[in-house]
Parts: sequence; C-alpha cells; structure tokens
Amino acid sequence: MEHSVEFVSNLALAMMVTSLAAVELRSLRLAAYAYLAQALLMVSILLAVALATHSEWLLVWAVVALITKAGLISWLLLTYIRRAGVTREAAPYVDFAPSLLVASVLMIGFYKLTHAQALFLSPAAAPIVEPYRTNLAVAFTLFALGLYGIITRRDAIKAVIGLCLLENGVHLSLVSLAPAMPEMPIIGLVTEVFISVWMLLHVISGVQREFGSTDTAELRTLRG
Amino acid sequence: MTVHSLAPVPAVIVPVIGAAIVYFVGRWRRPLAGPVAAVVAGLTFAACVWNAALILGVRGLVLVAAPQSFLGLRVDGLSALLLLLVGLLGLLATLFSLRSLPAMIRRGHGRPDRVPMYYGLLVLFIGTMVWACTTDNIIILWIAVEATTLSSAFLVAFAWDKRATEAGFKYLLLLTVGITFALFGCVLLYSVTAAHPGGQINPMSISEIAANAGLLASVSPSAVIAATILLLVGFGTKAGLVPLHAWLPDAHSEAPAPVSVLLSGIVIKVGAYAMIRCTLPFMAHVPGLSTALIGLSAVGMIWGIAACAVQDDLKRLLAYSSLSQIGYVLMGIGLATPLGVFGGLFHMLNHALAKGLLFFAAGSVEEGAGGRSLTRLSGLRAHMPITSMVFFVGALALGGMPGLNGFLSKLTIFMAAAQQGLWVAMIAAVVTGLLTLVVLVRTATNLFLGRPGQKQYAHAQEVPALMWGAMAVLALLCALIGVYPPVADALVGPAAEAIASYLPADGGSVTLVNLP
Repeated sequence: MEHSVEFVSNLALAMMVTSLAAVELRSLRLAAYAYLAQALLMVSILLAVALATHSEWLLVWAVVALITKAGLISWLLLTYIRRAGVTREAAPYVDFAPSLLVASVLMIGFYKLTHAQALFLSPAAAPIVEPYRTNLAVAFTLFALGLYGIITRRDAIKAVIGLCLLENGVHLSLVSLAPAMPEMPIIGLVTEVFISVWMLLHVISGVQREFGSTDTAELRTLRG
Repeated sequence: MTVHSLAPVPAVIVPVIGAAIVYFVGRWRRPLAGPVAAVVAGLTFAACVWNAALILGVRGLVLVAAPQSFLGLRVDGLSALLLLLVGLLGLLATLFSLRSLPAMIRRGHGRPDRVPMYYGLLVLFIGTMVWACTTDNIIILWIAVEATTLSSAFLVAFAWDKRATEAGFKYLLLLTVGITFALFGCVLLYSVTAAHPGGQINPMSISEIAANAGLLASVSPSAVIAATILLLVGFGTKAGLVPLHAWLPDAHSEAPAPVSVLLSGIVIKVGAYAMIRCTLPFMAHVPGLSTALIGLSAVGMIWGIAACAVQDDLKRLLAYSSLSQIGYVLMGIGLATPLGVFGGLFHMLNHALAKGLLFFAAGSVEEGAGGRSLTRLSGLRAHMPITSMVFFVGALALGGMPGLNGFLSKLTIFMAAAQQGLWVAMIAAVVTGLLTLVVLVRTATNLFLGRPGQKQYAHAQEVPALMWGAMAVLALLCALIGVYPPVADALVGPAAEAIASYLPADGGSVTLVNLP
C-alpha cells in the first residue's frame, strides 16, 4: 500500500505541475496540451487507486475519464483554439511571475491543508485512509487552481480550461468520497460536462466573430 | 401517503422526446416546428395538471414512479406546485413564440434557419425543468438542473449578436462554475449518507436524506457544514443569490421575451427548489446557515431594486426586479419557519405569474412598438391598450398592491421576519416592496400614459391575440389569487405541508385564511 501511496503522491505532484502550466502558459495551444497531460495523469491516478483498492468501479471511472477528458474535451479545446486562430491569450489580470508565485503558494498551501485536515471532510467522521487521503488533497488543489484560473484569466478560452480543471477536481474527489456510486449517473454527469464545454466553446466562437477577440475585457455591451 | 403511480412519467417523457420530434419536424418543414412545439407544450401542461390535481386532491399524497431506479420520479406537494408553474408558463411561452419569433427574425435578431432549434430547445428546456422538480435522486437533480442551463444557453444567445453572445457566454460560464460547486456538495451529501453506520438510508434519495438530516448532521457535522455551504453557493447561483448573480441581468434581458419569461418566471425558482430540497432540512442543524441566507437575500432585495431604478432598458429593469424578488423567496426559505416557508413558496407562485406577465408585455412592447428604451417610448396606451392594461396589472401585482396576489405573499414574508424578531430583514423587505411598487408603476406610467413620444414609434400597434392572450391569462390569475386567497391556500398549502418535515419540530401549519 505504501508503494502505491508514494506512486499516487508522485502522480499528484506531476498533475499539479501540469495544472499550473495549463493555467499559466500564455500560448493557448500549449495550455491545452498541458490540460491533456493533466487529464492523462488524472487517469493514471484513478488507475493506481483502482488497482490498490481492487475497485472495479474506479476502473470504469478511469476509462470514462480517459475517453471524455483526455480524449473528447482535449480534442474540443484544441479544435476550437485552432479555429479561433488565437495563439496567445490576452494578458491576464495578474502578471506572469506574481501569478506563478500566487498559484504555487495556493497549490501547496491547499494540498497541505486538506491533507492534514482531511478529517474535516470525512463523511464518517473517521480518518480517511490512504490513498484516498492524498487523492482528496489533490482534488481540492485542482479545484482551487481551477477557480484561480477562472477568476484571473482574461481570455475566454483560458477560462474554459480553468473550468475543466475545476471539474476535474470535483470528479477526482468523487473517487475518495463516493467509491460506490452507480455507473449510470456518472455517465450522465460526464456527458453533461462534455456538452457544457462544447457549448461554451461554441458561444466563444460566436463571441469572437462578433467582438473580434476572445478577450473578456472586451465584453462591455451589457453594463450597468 | 406514498402511492406507486406512473402519472409523473408523461410529464417528463413528453417534453423530452417531444423536443426531438419538434426539431426534426422543423428541419423537414420549418413552418410546422412552432405548432408541433405548441402541441407538445400543451400535452406537457396537461400532464402537469393531471399530476397536480391528483396531489392537491388528497392531503399528503406522494406519487412515486420506479423508486428503485435512478430514473425514478417522486411528486409531492412542492413538486406539484412547480409542475403547475412550469407547465403553464411553458405552454404560454410556446404560444407567445408562435407570433413573437417570426417578428423577432424579421427585425433581424436571429436567423430563420435556427427556428427548429429554438422550438426544440424550448420544449427540451421545459422538459428539463419538469425533470428537476420530479426526481428524487440527488445526482439526477444535479444533472437536471445543469441540463436546464445547457438547454437554455442557446436560447439566451438566440439573436447571436454582440449582446446576445456576451450574455450567453456569461450565463453558461457562471452557471456551470456554480453548478460545479453544487456537484461537490451533492457528492459530499451522498458520501455522508453512504457512510452512515447501519447503511439503511438510501444515499441517493433526496427524500431520505432530508428525513434523516438531524441524524446525519450529528454523525458528521463538519462534512455536512461543508456540503450545505457548497450547495448554497451552487444552487444559489442558479437561483440568483447575491453575490453570485452577475449572469442574471444580462441573460434575462437579452433572451427573447418568451425565454425570459421561463428564465425569470421558472428557472430561478427551480434553483430555489433545489435549495429547499438539499439545504432546508439542514438549516436547523448548521449554525449560521439560516442567518447567512436571510442576510444575503436581504442584500439581494435592496441591490436588485436599486439597480432596477436606474435602468433605461425595459427588459433589464425587469431582470433586476427578478433579482430583487427572488430575495423574498430565499428569505422565506432562510427563515425556515412554517410561516416563512409558506410565504416563500407563495411568492414563488406570485412572482412567476406577475413577472411572466411583465416579460410577455415587454416582448409585446418590443414587437408592437419596436423598442425597449424607457426614455424614448411613451404614450403607448393609445396604440396598445391591452398590453397597457395587463402591464399595469403586473406592475401593481409585483409591487404589492392590495387586491392582487403579490401583496399577500409579501405580507406573509414581512410577518414571518417579524415573528422571528428579525427587524432588519423585515425593514429590508418592506422598503424593497415600497420601492418596487414605485419603480414599476413609474415605469408603467412612463411607457403607456402621457403623450405619445418620438416619431419613430408613431406606428406602434397592438400585438396579435396569441400574444396578448397569454398575458391576459396571467393577469386574470394574479387578480384571482389577489381577491380570493383560498386559491393560494389550495396550491401553496400542500407544498408547504410536504416540506413541513424539513423544518424544526415545533411548527404547525399555515393557511392564509387564519393567519396568526
């Protein structure tokens, strides 16, 4: 079990680095690839936990995540980025260096906090066992990082990437919190996530045609 | 009394399958899309009325269909109230669209080839709202609420111009972020219930979670606190709770008028419904939750009416008014007393009718007079007498004029707040009520009375019967409830009773006819 815990912790660290990259990289294409890498790492974590706990459900979840997150959503992001023809995002509200610093602090802080305080969220008021504990900490960190991305990014497509990170965080937490949930609602859930990302990207392409860019600071027709 | 019945099933199946039929028929023969959609909406309304009639006829009746499946449905008094609203406003919005959509396209706000998509999504939107109000599964509730956002997003952005795409983007992004918080909350609630020793509570069932709220809160207090906060944020975003409301003014004002009716009239109530189902049972057990909700709703009331007062765009004014009025519903929920909950649910009903009426009227003004700027339109009564009359009814109803429905529900909220000794909240509610009356009547007067305005609007004319008919129906209902309160008792009473078990024990029931 310790072996798998260490493995999951390493994967978690790698995942947080790729998430940071997805939020911070100015080139939209590279950010999308960072997201793809992050999704693949998430699938790996799911597989690792599935094998460590011998859970068939987690195996199904890992496959579903592979197809939808690493596959469909990454494909959607890259396709729309290519169509939009936007290479670099408009400068976000926080500059690169301070943003990197803040995001790293946020990440590490959240990870340590949730890892240490996992009891707070424990459903049964009993300590959460590994590897679920590390997993939950990673999930929360992703959630926080995704939210940070949505709030500070000016580019609409970057905001969608932030949303995908946010959702990845919640879905990863499902592993720790709801290990026995039936499959059908999960399938419905990921289908909806896919549809919402597709619709967002479609509306953004409309925004781009109307406003000439995906910079949300340009969206000023509805004020007051 | 729980009865197994298939009655809830058509209410969900008809619009969901009907949406696909409408879309494909529309692709085949475009002029048929609207009428087929109207038929489907009519059948949905009939199914909703059937369910409501069954529930309201027998005290304490609950209908369940396929309870073992995750697709199972459960209709109690609260669901019945919402079903009636969804069915009625859905049908009226579809009928209104039959005339307003072609006019909108003629004005250049939308492409003709997207008409089948419009009607298909409209019917699907109705179906997802029905589904959200009849499911007993906590994850399916989440899926259905998100589905209402997804099915309405392209409706909001239908005109696909600058304003509409901006509104659509904000709508989708902010609501999806919010709903993700709610997902976290739903998952936490599920996990708390699933981990409960003994394992007899079905962790997916909302009704069972609600019934055991106290038990769950005592077993895992911190997880329950986290879950309820996340759910408050998540479903609160959907309901228009400040500070999570930024999408509301844009989406409700830029959507086509019939869609605005469904947005302001129903879907924010669906958000409030989800909050009732998931957080109300825990209000007594999570310290500070009730106060937080009352405080935020009071802020929302004031903020909404303040922003409303300075608007030039008629629909944006109505959108901010919705923000303000949903504060009454949320305050009622936050109070978590029988009187408060009754008031909140009653206001849900009244606001849906009155705001639906006002948005239909705004759409009529847009269609009949050709604009929605309040500074440039005036004296429309000469050209649009029926619209003028029903707008006044809606404005007075929402403002709380005695004799119409809004007065009664607002009074209930004032009293409920006073009953708990929450004077600040009560004053906020009273002040908002007075300001709402002033702002709406002033708007109505400026729009319809006075001398006819600028020349460009000189050829304004009354709208077709299908459009003013929808408004007239709602106006009559507002008046009926206002002068004959037992109608409200019959509709809202069962809803309040259905969730009486969510409230702390000492309740008692409330009827309008013998208020304490």
